[in-house]
Amino acid sequence: MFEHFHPGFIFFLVGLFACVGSEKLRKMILACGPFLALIAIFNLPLGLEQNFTFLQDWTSHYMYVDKLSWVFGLVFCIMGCIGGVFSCHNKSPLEAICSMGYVGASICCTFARDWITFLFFWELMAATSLFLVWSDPRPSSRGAGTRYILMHTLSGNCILFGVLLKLGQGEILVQNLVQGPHDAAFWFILAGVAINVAMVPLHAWIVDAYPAATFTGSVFMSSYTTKVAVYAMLRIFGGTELLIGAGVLMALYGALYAVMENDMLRLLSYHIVSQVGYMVAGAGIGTVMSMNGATAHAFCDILFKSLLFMCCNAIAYATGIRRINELGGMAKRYPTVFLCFVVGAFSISGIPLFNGFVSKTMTIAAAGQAHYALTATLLELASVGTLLSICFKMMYFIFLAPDKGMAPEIREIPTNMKAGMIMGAVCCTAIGVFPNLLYRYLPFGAVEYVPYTLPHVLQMLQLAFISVIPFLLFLPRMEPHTALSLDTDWVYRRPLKRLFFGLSSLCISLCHGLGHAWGVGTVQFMELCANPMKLLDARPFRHKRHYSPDNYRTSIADTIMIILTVLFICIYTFRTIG
Amino acid sequence: MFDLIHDAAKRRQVILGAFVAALVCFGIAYAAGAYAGHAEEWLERPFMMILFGFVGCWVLIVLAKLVMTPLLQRDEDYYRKGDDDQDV
Repeated sequence: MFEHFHPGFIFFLVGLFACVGSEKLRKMILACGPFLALIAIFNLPLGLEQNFTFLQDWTSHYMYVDKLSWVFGLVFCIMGCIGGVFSCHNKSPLEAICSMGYVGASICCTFARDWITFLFFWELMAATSLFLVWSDPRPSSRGAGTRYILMHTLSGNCILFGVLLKLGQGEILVQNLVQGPHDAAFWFILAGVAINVAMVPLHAWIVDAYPAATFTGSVFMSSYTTKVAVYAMLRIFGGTELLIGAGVLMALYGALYAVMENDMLRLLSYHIVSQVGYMVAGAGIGTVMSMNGATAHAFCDILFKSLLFMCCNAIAYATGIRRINELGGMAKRYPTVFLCFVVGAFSISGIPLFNGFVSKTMTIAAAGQAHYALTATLLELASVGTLLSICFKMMYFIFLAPDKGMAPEIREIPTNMKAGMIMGAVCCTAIGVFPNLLYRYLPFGAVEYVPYTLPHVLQMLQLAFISVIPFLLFLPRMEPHTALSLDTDWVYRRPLKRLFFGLSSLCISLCHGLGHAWGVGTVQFMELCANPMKLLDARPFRHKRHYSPDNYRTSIADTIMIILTVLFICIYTFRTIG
Repeated sequence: MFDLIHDAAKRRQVILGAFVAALVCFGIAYAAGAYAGHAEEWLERPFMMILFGFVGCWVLIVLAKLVMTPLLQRDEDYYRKGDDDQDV
């Protein structure tokens, strides 16, 4: 067992030791510990299966290594190493254990072979990441965390219903459901995964919660939850045509909202929705090339998106500002961050020599090859939106525009944060320059796609250069202003919330009213039982309502009348008998 | 740092530079015979990528900035106003 140690469990141990260790020890454990998991994953042979039996007859298939789970496990471990270095200056033990536990749960979810184990780690992922949001001291983080866990509880419950139905049918192993019947179990599991993959319109939790997390927490969050869901999409729903439209919608929707957005982290969160859209579309197309493209893009997205999150969080950490319209001149002040940001921005935009170019274009080419011409065109349009919002808008207004001097404080960025960013940038560039570093691990068959052909490179450069022109023509309008973009979370933050509170108030009022009526009725009933004669009080001809013995005494006239009547009856009776 | 918003002359220079760079890329691709064969997709036809990039970018800006911004953007305190400062 120890020969092939589960990389996820290594992260749990790292988190545990980091939590109980002293501050200096924690720093060392967070920076070095995750590399053990990286070594462990390279020691895992394909086909390895580890089980654990408990409750007499139930076996947890907690680790099964195939090509798909391995490649996702690998990138999760790489990101765990980068994130560990980036976050090791943190003083909070809770954040340390939660971030490492989150990485561990994501890896365990990837390697889980049976539904119950998969679901267990799926829920553990939500629970651990919640504390990365709640660790932030801002008041808004509390509400955002609550909404986050509510959405993930909904996701987990949907999957639970589906899994229970699957177990009822005797299917215990996680497998592709597309070939089987599209029954209730299929739709429940799809709905649960769709929430975590941030499918429009169920995506708003991502834009709500990620910017509310801590500086280091959001870096971890940007890499795991949605990518584990992409893994689930590829494994369980690969080839579901419904996903193509959903993916295209996500790609365009995220890109459009990102053009409007002013908050750096909200903008990047919209780009998670957009980039995951490519993966979902790739999973939906279901060909070897598209599935490989989706896997490759998930791999690269984790690297470049976390790099962009690291850069923006470093700027926010140093200046205390998250709004783009209050920043400027950061290239001069933080050149290392600027260079890393350029690598991340070029990667996400698919510029040649950076990793986005070798993965995103593969998905688009796969759509074209599978005769989904409109899908390919719309995905290409979404990549123009990415260029516009990250490569031009963020890079210009944050780094190249004149400094607005609005930063309340200027802090030095810790060395470990810079080291984390440089590691991310090196990974993005290495895969961009040598795509075979990634292609040889892709799980769905041999890769026939060649990204570096002259027409292909030059086409991408034409697109990048020409997109500068509309951006500059609209430049005064492109500067974002302080505002909040309403999204689908409006539904549950406004009308649904008001309906909920309204119904709650109505129920409380009804309970109060009924309780009061019950109390009054009980008292009156007991008074009536104590004195049934009171019932007579209720008659309309009785005017005296309050109890008085005089009310119940007969008058002299009544007495004489009664005596005379009785006497008359007696005399009459005797005379009749006699 | 580059104040391209207020410095119109510099902005025009950058626009011209980007246009020339795009044309040079197109020229090299054309000269290298990238458009010689039959194009399977319309974006692979000559000049289409430049047209697509320009129009696509324009459409996205117009949609996001001129249509969606007035419709969907509100004050930053929108959810915190009144009864909305509760947790959920």
